[in-house]
Amino acid sequence: MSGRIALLRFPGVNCEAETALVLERAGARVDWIQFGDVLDPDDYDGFVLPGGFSYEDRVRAGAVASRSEWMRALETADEAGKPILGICNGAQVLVESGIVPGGPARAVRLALAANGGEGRGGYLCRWVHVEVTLSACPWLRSLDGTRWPVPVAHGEGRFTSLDPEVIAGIETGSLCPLRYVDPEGKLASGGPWDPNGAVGSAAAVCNERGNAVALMPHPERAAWLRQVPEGAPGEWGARRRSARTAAALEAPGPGQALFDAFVHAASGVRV
Amino acid sequence: MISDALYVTLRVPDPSALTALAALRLMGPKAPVRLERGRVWWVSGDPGAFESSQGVWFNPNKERGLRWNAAGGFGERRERERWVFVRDRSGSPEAGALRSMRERGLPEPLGLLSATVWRLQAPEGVSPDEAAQAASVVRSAFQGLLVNRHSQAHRVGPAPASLTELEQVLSELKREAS
Repeated sequence: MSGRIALLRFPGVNCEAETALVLERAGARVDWIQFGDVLDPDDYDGFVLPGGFSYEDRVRAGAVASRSEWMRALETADEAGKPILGICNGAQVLVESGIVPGGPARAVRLALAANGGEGRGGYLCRWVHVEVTLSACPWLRSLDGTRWPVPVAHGEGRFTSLDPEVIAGIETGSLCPLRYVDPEGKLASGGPWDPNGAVGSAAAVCNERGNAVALMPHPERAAWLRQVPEGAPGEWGARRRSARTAAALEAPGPGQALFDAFVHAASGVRV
Repeated sequence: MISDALYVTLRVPDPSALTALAALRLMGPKAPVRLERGRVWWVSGDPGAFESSQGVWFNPNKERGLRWNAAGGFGERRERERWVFVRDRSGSPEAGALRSMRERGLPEPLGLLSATVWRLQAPEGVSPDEAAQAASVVRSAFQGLLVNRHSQAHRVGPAPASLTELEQVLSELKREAS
């Protein structure tokens, strides 16, 4: 059974086409919801907020979009436990709306601050490595322990909070399904493979129930083997270098598995 | 000690302020009737800092800078207005200006402080403090907008009445942010 996914297009989003392709390859039926459209949460099994910008990231990245009427629909979907994925700017929207990490009265308990760390200020676009770690997110459990290369492209990607409970949740794991690591799997924190200085080297943060995930890297840009750099270290780099034909290069890349897991979870909601 | 201050805004209507105002209006009747965004700079020790290094503080092609005037502050005072000073908890808005001054061989001021400022005017029947509180700190998807306290420090108050008051606000903000 295929899940029906709503792909939300705020003004300024620019990763929706590749995100839709990857979701469809995972078996989803994807509806592009245009800015101004009414979003009925009952019509969909899962919701994806793709990357790019929203409202030119005025005020703060994701801040204006998180005041959209669509948020009421997303809150209803969240209460029903439907999977929600925000990628990059979509992650910023989920954080600014309080959907991630959730909690009492949907208070905003987290921020995606400007990239920090030695030599890592400003916008950063490069390949990093992430590892899926056991967290509250049920739909990523099948990928627990996997490690893969993926691009980041953001200026404000540093998960941070003044709330000790949220910090603890990220550091101990329940709220953190993906962390930045080096190619050998060591936590990237503060090192050359850490793109932004996020607490706990968090590449993603989920809500307490685990159905909604705010993810800063772009797995849709790593969903075909051809997208992996030939010089990438580790298994995926080796696969890329050994791919000699067009067909081999069109094979799924490291980011595809995350969308497969998301669509699988979304399909289960309606069963 | 000699001090001076500069308030920088866009020459054209500010898209960020207009968008923020539209978003705030969705949240209810406490939304401001007017919202303006600027950047305030405070320096001490160099009375000519703002004359000798204009390109450091703003781009005159698209922005204008208003100098502090002992008689009237930054000029027009608006009724029912509150200033929301905002500073990111990471980074330093002063660092870029100091770097530019060094690159141009300009003397660095003894003291330098800066912050983003949202000037908001409360609607009739709503107290300016109440309107500022409603608009500033993000509490949920439909409450607050201008400040995410997890990544930003802020101060709310009337327009500063003196350079000393402005320095105090900016110093407190810097302390809280760091």
